Amino acid sequence: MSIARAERLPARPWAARFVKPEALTGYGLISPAVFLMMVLLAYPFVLAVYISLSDRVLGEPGKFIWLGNFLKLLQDSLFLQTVWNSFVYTLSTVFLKLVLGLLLALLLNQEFPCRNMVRGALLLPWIVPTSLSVLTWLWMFDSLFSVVNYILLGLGLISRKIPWLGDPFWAMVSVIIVNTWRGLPFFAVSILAGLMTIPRELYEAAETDGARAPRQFWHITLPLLQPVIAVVVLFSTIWTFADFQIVYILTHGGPINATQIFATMAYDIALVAGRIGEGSAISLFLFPALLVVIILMLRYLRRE
Amino acid sequence: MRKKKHGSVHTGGDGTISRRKFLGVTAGATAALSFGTFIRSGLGAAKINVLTWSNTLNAMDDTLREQAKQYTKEKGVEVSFEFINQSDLPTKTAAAVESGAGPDIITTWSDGAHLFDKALIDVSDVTGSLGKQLKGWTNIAKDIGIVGKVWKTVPWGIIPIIVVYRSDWLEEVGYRKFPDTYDEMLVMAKKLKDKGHPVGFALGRAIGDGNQSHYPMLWAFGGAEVKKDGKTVAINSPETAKAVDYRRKLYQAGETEDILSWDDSSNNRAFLAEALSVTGNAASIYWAEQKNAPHLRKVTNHALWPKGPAGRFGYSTAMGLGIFKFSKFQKEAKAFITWLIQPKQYSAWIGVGEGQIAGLANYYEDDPVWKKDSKLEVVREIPKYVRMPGYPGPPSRPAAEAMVKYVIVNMFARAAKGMSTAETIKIAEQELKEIYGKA
Amino acid sequence: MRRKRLRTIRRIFGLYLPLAAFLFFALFPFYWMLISSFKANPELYNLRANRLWIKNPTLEQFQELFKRTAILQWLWNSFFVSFLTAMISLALGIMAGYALARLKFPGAQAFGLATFITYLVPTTLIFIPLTRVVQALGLSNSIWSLVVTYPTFLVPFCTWMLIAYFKSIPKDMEECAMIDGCSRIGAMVRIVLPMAIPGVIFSAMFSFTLSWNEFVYALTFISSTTHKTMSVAVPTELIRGDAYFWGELMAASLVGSVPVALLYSFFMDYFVSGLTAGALKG
Repeated sequence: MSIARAERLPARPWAARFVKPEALTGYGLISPAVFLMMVLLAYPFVLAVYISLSDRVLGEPGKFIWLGNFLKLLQDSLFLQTVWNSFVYTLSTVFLKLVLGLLLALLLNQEFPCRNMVRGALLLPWIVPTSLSVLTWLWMFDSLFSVVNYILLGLGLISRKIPWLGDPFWAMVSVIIVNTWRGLPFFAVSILAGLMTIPRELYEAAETDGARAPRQFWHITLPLLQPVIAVVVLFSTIWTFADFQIVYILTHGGPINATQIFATMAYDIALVAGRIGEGSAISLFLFPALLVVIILMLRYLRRE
Repeated sequence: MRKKKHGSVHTGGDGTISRRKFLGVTAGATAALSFGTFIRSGLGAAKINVLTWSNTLNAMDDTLREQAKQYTKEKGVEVSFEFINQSDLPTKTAAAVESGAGPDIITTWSDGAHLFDKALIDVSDVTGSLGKQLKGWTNIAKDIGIVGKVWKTVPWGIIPIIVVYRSDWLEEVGYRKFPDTYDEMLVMAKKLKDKGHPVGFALGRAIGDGNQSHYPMLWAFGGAEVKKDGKTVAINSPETAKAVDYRRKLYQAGETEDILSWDDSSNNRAFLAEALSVTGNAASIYWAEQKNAPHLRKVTNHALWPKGPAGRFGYSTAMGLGIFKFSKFQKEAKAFITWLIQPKQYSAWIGVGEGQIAGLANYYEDDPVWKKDSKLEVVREIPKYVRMPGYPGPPSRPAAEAMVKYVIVNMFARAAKGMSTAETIKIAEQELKEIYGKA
Repeated sequence: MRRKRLRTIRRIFGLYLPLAAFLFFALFPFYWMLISSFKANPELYNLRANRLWIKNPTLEQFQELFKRTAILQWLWNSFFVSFLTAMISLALGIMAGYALARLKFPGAQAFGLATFITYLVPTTLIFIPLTRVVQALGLSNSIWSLVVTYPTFLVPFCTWMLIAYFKSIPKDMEECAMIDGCSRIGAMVRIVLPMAIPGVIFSAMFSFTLSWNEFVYALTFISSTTHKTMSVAVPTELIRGDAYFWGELMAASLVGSVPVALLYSFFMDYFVSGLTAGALKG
């Protein structure tokens, strides 16, 4: 059809001789976005990659050292701990968010009074600025005034206060709790949206075949939710690996480096100690791996 | 740079009509915007921007704002201060250094001048004339200010970190004065804790209090992270072991276990909530009591850090004012800094601070502020004992990195949590070798 | 009879109780924010006081906040930047999304992949080189630096979301319109866009929220108090020296949270239906 149109309009500008008009419109439509991303995203990103391949420190140009930073990092005990922490943090929060989010979505998909209000209220943790809400959690985990301990002690669930941010184990638990708190609504609402697109008839048909609720869940709900879950998990994994604010505000990576993750370590090394080459290498460390994961995921989704 | 950018806008359009139109509009708008900025900054009178931290006391910042206004009135040079919380200061500084744009005057935090000295201009003329006028600079001023052979930052002030204690509880266990040595302090701490009044020195990620309480402890027992050359790692020594043993004992006998989770603000709160008898902090607790707990102010007092076998030490954040090379108003900035550190302005500022800030020129040791309140008298002695991380070597990038990575604090923290002395020192040694090996 | 009771019990344990638990988890921090901001300092820092209730409610913290800081200005800045960037990103996202969903041209796939990969670029890293670009554009310390940079992470998102929407709209209608003499762009604006309204609103809200949340760029590009946005101004201006003024901080957090909460309460229906209508079908 586009060819027919082109024939009808002989007096096209010169460009039409080389490019089909449809493509022309296409380029026209994406050009503002491309332009913006080239200047403000691609260019700085390429610079950042370049910096990560140099031994640059603040205010000095530095030498190009290829993969020197990355190789050195592999022998850095603190960095190896950071890698471990980052994986623990990301995998456990994504897992928690997925399980709880699925559960919450199933609840929210039922009929009950004030449903929209409840849905809105549950969304709050996700829409409120992180820099503000995490401050609230910091105050809730305060070593002396912790309201969480106050409640747990009051209910008799614990006999002595939990050192939330003061113990390597509990500090990790704390940042995981807060990340789950913040990310859960995104999972729940996205999965809810997926649930709402599943046709009722499928369940009705299953009912007549005598399938009970658990079987319906395993054989209808879950398979049909798979694409949604894949997208949500992918997004969340990427975001969590790059997460900065929650850990930075709550623990600064402590105590004894127990919660040091990629972004906070990169911050400390690049900005506070001034080694921006090495710092950039830290924050780019996972880039190649994530890139591969993303491309594989996109392939999978496109096939679906 | 500016020109190049616009060039890329035009060549970037590879020939489509709608797109070119759009690009034209964008480029025009960008040009107009940047031209506007150009006019504002380039053709107007000198305007100096200063980036600094928000002091705990509002009033101190207000004083600086007032003085800036006064300066504008007197000299016709506009000065504006930007105040920001200390933990976000490195981000802004790094952005300025890397982009070659930002404030004219930057507050160098501790070893800041050593970290990005290449971005700062030589201010030896300013420090030279001020030094002559103000009876010379203290050692710590020289430590933070001189990089190689030249002054890269004008020493501005130090935030003295001292021992803050509850005199009534000390009396309860039989102490009229704060003990003079670490060993005596340990004995006292046990008595205090048995009475339900634990002591506490931050072992969490408190970039200020944590480091500032523990470097002095290490040094007082004779330990050090490097040799005098600033290169050879020397943490693994019997002296360090003594300090670590001491730290474990102090934690077990006399401290609240909260210290592992403390950030810089926690001990302030605990002290004000009457849950803490002794801590290491700035004079900010004493100040806060004025408003929130006047009854505590009467029983709060300050002391110097205790002595150890190797002597008395301290580590406090010292600040300087550096001028960026990219500043268009370097001469004006120098004049302003000189003016700001003149007794008339400077005494007014530290006077408002009531011990929050001490001067770095010898002249200010006799500042009237220290005579206002006898409880603050010890504060003025602090600059004498203060050393920087990396001591006995000079301040350096590896030393700063070791501090950011909490190598020393974590060494003590692991011991407090029960790790053996030899093991925790070995970890610290390993970390330090990695850090110093990079230099 | 017994059956009915059984159903009620199942409903309580299967729905209401778990839902209540989730609500408690999600909302408790806001309750804590609320009561902390209405307490005066002596009560706030009293270990013996009941921490879950307010004995002497006071507006002290708010008064101090409004008197001493430019909080209304910060709110306005946040709103201005978020609204404008949401609109810009939406416009660019609609154009690019439509092109990718409907038009065939070489490089379209590569562009689609590129939009996705942008999520991998950590802001904690690129803000340093980006500062240079912002400086070269002459936008340092201007609210416009945010208006220009925020779309970099919003446009990919809007594009991605809207592709899915546009794909779910049947092609026949616009083809009919085009045979009747409507141009491609005309068909897009008049036929497709109105049908994608839920997706458009959803993307706008999402973009607005992300802008409202943004921290690192706003911290590095903006210096003057009067140009700061809420999410940066509160921590940088209210945490002073080695002290957190919790009462004021909580009051300010509350003020910064309410506008977005209100926005969502108005548009909640659109949000859920927007998501449902196909955004996540990829």
